[in-house]
Amino acid sequence: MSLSMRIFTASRNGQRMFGSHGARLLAAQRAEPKDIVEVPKGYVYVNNKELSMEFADITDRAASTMFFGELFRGFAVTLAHIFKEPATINYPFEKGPLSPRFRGEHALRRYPSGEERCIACKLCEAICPAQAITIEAEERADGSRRTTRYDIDMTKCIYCGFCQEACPVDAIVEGPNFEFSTETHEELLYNKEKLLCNGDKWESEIASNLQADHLYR
Amino acid sequence: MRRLVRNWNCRLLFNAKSGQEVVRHAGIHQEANINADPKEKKVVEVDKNGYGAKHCMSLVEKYDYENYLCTLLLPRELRRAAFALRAFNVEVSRSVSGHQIEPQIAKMRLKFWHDSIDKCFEQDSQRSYVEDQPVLRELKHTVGSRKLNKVYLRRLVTARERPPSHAFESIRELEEYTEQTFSSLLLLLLEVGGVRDLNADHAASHLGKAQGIATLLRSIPLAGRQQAPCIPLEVLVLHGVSQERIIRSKSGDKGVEDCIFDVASAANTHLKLARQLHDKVPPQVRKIFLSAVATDAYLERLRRANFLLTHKSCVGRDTLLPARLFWKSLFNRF
Repeated sequence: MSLSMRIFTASRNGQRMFGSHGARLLAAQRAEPKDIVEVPKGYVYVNNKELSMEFADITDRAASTMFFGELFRGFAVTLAHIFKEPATINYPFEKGPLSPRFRGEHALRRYPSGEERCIACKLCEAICPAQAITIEAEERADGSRRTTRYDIDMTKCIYCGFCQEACPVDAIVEGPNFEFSTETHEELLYNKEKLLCNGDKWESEIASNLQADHLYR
Repeated sequence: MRRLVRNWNCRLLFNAKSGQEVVRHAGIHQEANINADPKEKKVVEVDKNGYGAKHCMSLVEKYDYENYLCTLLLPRELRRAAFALRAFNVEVSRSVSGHQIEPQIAKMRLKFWHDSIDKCFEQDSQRSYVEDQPVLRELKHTVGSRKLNKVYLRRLVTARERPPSHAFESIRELEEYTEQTFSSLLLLLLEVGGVRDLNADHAASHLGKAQGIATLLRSIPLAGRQQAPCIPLEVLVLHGVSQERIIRSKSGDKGVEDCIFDVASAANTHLKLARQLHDKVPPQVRKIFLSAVATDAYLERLRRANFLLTHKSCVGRDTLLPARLFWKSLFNRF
């Protein structure tokens, strides 16, 4: 147990640990405190007990008042809290843990060679329950069939992750970024450039979230 | 050790070809894509020389490490085609496992791969997406350069249409499933090697079953509740064990041990049958069957761990496997 924890427990339980122990040493034949009211049989009275009027107890209480016992115990609790690890984090600079399956802002990925992954199969557009995805594809000059338009309306999106699941080539993913609030609605209508840019920015995190060892089936 | 193996093999794969390896940073590409089309065209042309093969290799390395090691030891002329097939298998397998939730979505992905097989066999697929996906590009290259049986490729996909929550009824059904997936892949590899031999086909069928059952057993602790454990219902009923107990896999649970023993011994029987044919199969085939070594090693570890699937030695990677595979391939045995 660390030192701060020890101070902390001692200050919290000081009365019980030292007070009662010391009192028992002083007055061995100490009377049990009585209940204030008459308690019927089979019941337990859980409120404050009547204060004992034994001389030793009166002295204890007086000493505790005179030496500001409660006050010092309060200070000890404060002191212990200084050494304790804080329960909060310094948010914009520190971030809490995220599940690898967290579904945040969308991103379009590329192969490490720089080629776009998306091949315009339109499965994500078909599966999207909110119909937030719009894809238009046409052939390019070199014969490859790519999307000319890949728009996601982030205000329609419900972050169900179906697009990610449906994508056979792992092109569209919901990355770990959750800080993409904007001031206007238009900024949340993402186009292909924005999505690809997200992919480049978050690639290392996304790739590490997609780890696996060996085949399941 | 791993880096050493990887470097060695990248060199092995690429030293034959003159193709420049393209290692580019994604950021540079983005500029190229957005700004100028002609520039991008050039980039893609360059990429198509070597990137597909490399991507297939890294995919197999990531998702199917043991078979990656086995495939590396194949003769150079087979290696590229073998990696293409293995990578395709990985892609199809991933469509139905991992963290897929919706069975409907898994079906859509399988349909995609099923359609792409046909596209790979079409002559004028220049105008389809096949050229844009590295794995399909490699598959098409393989299909174009060797005579492959379309039926086996299709089987890789159709067999996996079976829903993941659907348990196997009997060991026979389990064997049928693994024969359709894992044996088909081995038969495809045999076709790549240009071998037409009855004994080799027979051995591939047995070995595929052994390998498949071992792989499915191995996936139980990893897949958890995402898919029904591969222990057939008849075995479960025989020992009075529930699927839940299999998944929880407490050490010292006698019934679970018995179930896993039964299934693992089925795999072992097939492995032995495949190895009985060792002397009868043509020598050039034996390298293709190297994955028997990995399967054997896993079954042995499982036996040592007293048929506890979650035992440390059964879950992690086998560090001795590369050496063992190399040793076997040196003497051309499996």
